[in-house]
Amino acid sequence: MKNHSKFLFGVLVVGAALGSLPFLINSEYFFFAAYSVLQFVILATAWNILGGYAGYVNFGSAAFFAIGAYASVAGFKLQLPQGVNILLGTFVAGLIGLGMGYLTLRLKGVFFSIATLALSVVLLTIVLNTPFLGGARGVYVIVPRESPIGVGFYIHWLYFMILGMAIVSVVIARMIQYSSLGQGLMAIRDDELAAEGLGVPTLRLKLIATTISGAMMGLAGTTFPYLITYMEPTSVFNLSFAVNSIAMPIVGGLGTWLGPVIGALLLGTIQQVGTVTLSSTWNLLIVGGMLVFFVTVAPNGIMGIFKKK
Amino acid sequence: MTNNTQEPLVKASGIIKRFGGFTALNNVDLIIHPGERLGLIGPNGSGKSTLVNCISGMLKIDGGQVTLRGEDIGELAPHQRVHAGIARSFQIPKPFKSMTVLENIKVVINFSGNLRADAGDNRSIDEKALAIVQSVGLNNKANTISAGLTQVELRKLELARAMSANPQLLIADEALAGLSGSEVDEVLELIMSMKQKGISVLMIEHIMSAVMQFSERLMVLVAGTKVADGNPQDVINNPEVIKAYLGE
Repeated sequence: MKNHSKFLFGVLVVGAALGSLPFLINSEYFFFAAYSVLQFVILATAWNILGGYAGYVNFGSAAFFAIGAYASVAGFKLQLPQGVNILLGTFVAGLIGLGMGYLTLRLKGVFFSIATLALSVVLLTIVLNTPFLGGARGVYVIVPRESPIGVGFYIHWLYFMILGMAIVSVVIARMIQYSSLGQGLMAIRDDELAAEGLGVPTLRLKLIATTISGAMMGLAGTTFPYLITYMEPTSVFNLSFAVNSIAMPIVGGLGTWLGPVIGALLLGTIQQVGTVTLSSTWNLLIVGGMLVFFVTVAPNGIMGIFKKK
Repeated sequence: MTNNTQEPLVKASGIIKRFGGFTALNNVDLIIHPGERLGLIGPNGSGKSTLVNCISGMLKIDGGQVTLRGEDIGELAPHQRVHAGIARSFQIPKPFKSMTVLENIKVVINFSGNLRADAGDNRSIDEKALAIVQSVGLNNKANTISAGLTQVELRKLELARAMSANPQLLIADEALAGLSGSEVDEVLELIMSMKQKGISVLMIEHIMSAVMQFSERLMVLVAGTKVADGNPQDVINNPEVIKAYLGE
């Protein structure tokens, strides 16, 4: 489906519907949960650009998320405006994505994945040894209770921001899917050697993908410190971010812009319900179970099931 | 026959390629003239695919020089050589499996740039892709996912993708392997038709009847060394070639 006007109309309708929720729902917790789900929409969408379109599995999602979060913290401590902190976190994460690409993209398959995992370890060590970022003790980000736009509380403001970011991320992912860049990345995923041998500048496209993917993951992290207000390294470099950003596109359907959105909405919501009804400690087990189920029963994810029909 | 006094399209001089301690190509020279059909034969392991991989840039050479229209292309990446005018098909078909036949072609048109940027051609990329699909006889499979193609269709798709780069030299690496008699004729006719488009073709092949029908000039590699290069009839009667194929 390449109908751009239908898509934009759909985005407007969904954006308006989700944007109106703060005026309709009183529960603050609802928006905390919705924030978390939308944050995963961004992470899963970002992961899919490199992992789903190009077939390069990145285990370092948590690292990019943390780069965005800690760049935002740095900006906060330097008393920069929140908007600048968001741009800063996105830019730094994109830059590190580009750097990681230069260093690792000549590696193939599992070796690339291991290298991305190593990035998390390196960055965690840097943060633990940087007092300015709170080190191992963590860092406080004090936010007002009221929303700066006069609508509801601060959580509503964060919800509006993460909603806007999620929409931008999904629009970018869809644009890439139907562009020459997306076509080239999918050629790389199908057969990198053939792609290079037929004129596709594989290294350049992969670098663009790592940069965009890294920047989007960083973007997802930029408002996280404002949500949790006390941030310690283990809460940001959390296995949950890495696992979810891989599991959600797989469950939803790899290689399409819609798959990660469906996966994030499904798994994110299930985890939020699980947190309330069972315990958050069950979350990774739920995700793992769903992942095993889909990999064995429906390897093309939910999108694949519908495509077959 | 082509006029061999004209400037070569591609010239590989003194090519050396080693894999560890094994020398796969030892000081091999190869020349292809514009519009020429050159056959490249040799027993298994003689270095034929290695040589074309060195020309197309898939392998880095350890010695020698490769030029295209007199310019050294040794430092160009494989995709840059495609942009410069050298395209290839692969010995084992490597389709973009998740894409349709038409999408496979469009990727190459988009990225090779040569057909896309053709100033005298106002057709859209879709139209150009469809014309290429039709020219190889895959029009009824244009919207089929390439993972579902038969062997002969995959071979045709390989050639169609190489043609989509609008090359000056097309390298066909065992494009007839695994095909039945009638399928060989079908694909061979396709490869031979490149000459009408002014495309030089370097064909590696084991099917000797096809090689003899195709080649205007024939070159033979044995154990990484060129043992013969010239008129096909003279080459197959060359004692060294006979020895390489039939033994002492």
